Amino acid sequence: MSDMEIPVGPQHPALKEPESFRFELEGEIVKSVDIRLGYVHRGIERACQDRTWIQAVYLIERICGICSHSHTTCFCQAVEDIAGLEVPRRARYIRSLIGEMERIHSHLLWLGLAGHEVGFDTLFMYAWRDREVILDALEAISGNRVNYGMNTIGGVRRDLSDRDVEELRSAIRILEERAGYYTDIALEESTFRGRLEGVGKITKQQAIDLGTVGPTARAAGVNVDLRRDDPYAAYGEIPFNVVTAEDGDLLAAAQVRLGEIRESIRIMKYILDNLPDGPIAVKAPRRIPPGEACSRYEAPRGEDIHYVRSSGGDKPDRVKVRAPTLANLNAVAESMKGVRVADIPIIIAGIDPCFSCTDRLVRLQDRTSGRVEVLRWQDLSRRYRR
Amino acid sequence: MSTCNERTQGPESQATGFPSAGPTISSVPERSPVVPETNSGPDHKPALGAEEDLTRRVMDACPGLGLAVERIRPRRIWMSMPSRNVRAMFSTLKGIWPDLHLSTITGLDTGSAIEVIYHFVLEKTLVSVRLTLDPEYPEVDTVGDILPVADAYERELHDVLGVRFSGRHSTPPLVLPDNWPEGYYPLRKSAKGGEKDVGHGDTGGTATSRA
Repeated sequence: MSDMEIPVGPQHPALKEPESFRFELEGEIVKSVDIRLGYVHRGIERACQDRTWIQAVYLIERICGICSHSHTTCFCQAVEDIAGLEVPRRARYIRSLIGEMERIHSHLLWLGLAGHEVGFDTLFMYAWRDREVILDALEAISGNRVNYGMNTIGGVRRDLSDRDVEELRSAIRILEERAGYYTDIALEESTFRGRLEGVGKITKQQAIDLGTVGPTARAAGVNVDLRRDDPYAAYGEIPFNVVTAEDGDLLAAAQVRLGEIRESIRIMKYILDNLPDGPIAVKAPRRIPPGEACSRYEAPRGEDIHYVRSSGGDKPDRVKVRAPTLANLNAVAESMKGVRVADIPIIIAGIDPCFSCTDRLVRLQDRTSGRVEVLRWQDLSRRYRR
Repeated sequence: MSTCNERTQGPESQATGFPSAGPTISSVPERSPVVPETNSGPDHKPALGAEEDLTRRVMDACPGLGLAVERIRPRRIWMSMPSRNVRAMFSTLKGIWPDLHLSTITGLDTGSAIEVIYHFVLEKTLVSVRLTLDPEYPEVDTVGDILPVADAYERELHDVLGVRFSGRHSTPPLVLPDNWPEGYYPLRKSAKGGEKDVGHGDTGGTATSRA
């Protein structure tokens, strides 16, 4: 059989950013993959330099639709470090609370998509239905399902009322039961396991060498979690577990993410039980004194890092953002080698949960005859579904 | 803790709700909620014993490379060094700390120089090493062969600041489109917003190889 090349993307929203994957195949087996980024490069780092510090927070909120709170917390922490602002304890607890709610809805979204890509649509429907529970709770607190706008430099913008706390407790009761159910289903159901076990595998050494972060690294046995290793917000005071697995495949990734949903629920309960009283923000100066700082944050997908420099003005001098997906891309390329075409959708879905279900095209080109066949994504999924 | 090879068997553990071959859970004990660790206000002087000790060991490991300590903060070490020694430093450190994690590489234009800052993690501490490059011809050796993840960060810096990385066989664009005008670097102080009208064009056909 002749070699084939399958371009997946760039107009292929398997990731939150359109990316171009070019798979070189030998028969059914992927020989190599080339990845090209930048299709939604919006110049946010540069744009921050033309905005005031507070305006930059709102722009940074929009880097990602899923982990918006991660980015603003990371940015605000860096600015607060430069300005020497002491964030009130209640604000730090609320930041952690929203961060864990964000992690739960991100992981549930991932679980549903993973289910969808392996043909287990019931899991997709269930996981996304239950994700609404956490989104409703976020909306009750912040007024928004995504891009909550909770952070400001020096603290948070909205307080939790007693009613919010009560509503969150009932949401937690539902989620706790459902998380247990998903753990049973996803990790015991034989067809689901069959599609994930051994697929998209990286070793622990590869994970370290390729700079992998977050659940992708933890699934390969790398025991790293910034909430424990570089505590920020309220994590220095909260007991929780770091979930790791050994195998480095997608089943391990599912195990880690499901375990993390349960840990996030535990953290939320602890925060609600121990929420300190007091102010939720300190006043931040309009001009930030000269200086630079680096802030790190354990986003749902891994280490988010922001470098911020001020020259003493009312605008940032430089904002540098490295989101976790960029760090994980090398590992993705590595884990694609030697997999079957049938597993491409689940590996793509397995690495990043941001996924908008618009129309997708795949072009198959026979190298020798030059014959080109254009398939819709659903057709490809159907053709290669095992 | 059992390994994942045993996944197919084993009843659920009552304690965790996971199959017995499930993930490993390492516990973070409850700590006393007294001293906020992340922020250091003007009056707050945290103990920096571990960071100072790590700085000493890094300095001892890299003699003669011109490493200089700028400042030490909680879980942050800021250093600077001459740009010619960056490869030597990373090969040495990677030999001593095999789990060295390069978080990212920041580049910035200060107006009088191009600064390149390598942020990497040693023993849970973020070490930032600053290189100062000539703004006319910013060039530094690649570390992509020592730390594969650096490939993406170097390509990004080349795109936005025009930093050249010698030793790479090519530096294809990562974040900017393929038809972006050569020599126009958006994060340079000299770059004016809105000056260039660059369509994204059809870049999908030019997949690039990884170094």
